[in-house]
Amino acid sequence: MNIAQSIFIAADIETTYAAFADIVRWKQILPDVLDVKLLYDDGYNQEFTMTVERPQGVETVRGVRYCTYPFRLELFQPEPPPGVARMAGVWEFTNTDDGTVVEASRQFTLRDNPDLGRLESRDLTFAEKLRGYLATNLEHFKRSIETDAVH
Amino acid sequence: MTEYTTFAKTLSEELVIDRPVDVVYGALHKLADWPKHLPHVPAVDILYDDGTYQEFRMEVISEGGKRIRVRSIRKCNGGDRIEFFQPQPPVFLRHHAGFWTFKDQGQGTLVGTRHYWTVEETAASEQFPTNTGEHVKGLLAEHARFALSTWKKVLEA
Repeated sequence: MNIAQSIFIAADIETTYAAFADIVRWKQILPDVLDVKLLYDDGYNQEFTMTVERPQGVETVRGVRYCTYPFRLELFQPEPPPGVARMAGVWEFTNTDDGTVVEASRQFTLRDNPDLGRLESRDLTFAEKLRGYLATNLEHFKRSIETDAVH
Repeated sequence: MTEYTTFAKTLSEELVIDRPVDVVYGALHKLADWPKHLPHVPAVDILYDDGTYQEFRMEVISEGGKRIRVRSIRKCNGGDRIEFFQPQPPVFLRHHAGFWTFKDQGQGTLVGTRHYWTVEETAASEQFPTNTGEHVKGLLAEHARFALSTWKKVLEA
């Protein structure tokens, strides 16, 4: 299943991209991120773990990103969250006259579990939850980047 | 190409394999079959594979018979390019990444491999006390040429 959320940030594309690309900095920007460990970073390829607080408990995912300055961060999770077979996506950054539009898109596949009901309804429920997390995170990034831009 | 601009060093090698592009790409993409084709790769442990993104550990028999295990992560575009990096490269490297390319040449395929790296200076100097940079480049070039020639031999057989 595919989903996407986007936001306008009143800052230049380089500054905006830098905030998202600096994965260790996410701990300062997103309140539910408890820890980030950067395992490998060569400027294009990144591998990291991220521990987040969720209503159902603490989750650690391992992610890989491909960083194309300043337009695109492509990602996948070789170790996705529980119940998820595949999680991949892109953060895309588009320059506008007065700032940057950030679009977060995700493609996911849930693990099949007949005990939990039909896959389609679980997909929709998960998609709504994921959209919510993306929208909240985009708002946090917007606030952080625009506040830094003013000071 | 903006993706590899932070790397200090690079090399490339290429040759033509007399097989169609889809056959050559398919052979390099299908990790599970590598031990069947490649005598120096006795085992591949696939950790993740969704067709586009792959993570695997492979056991390699190096020159001198030493067995080493390497973890690699790859991004495959489905037709003409496979990118790779080693999150834990050999001790004398700080970073190691690159890509394979596959170009239709009519009856055959022009296969290219490009490597990018930065040296871990202290470990590299200990392992190669003289002409460190040249030794590291030579080792990676030899590895690249060996991989290409092995695939050529296997696929043209």
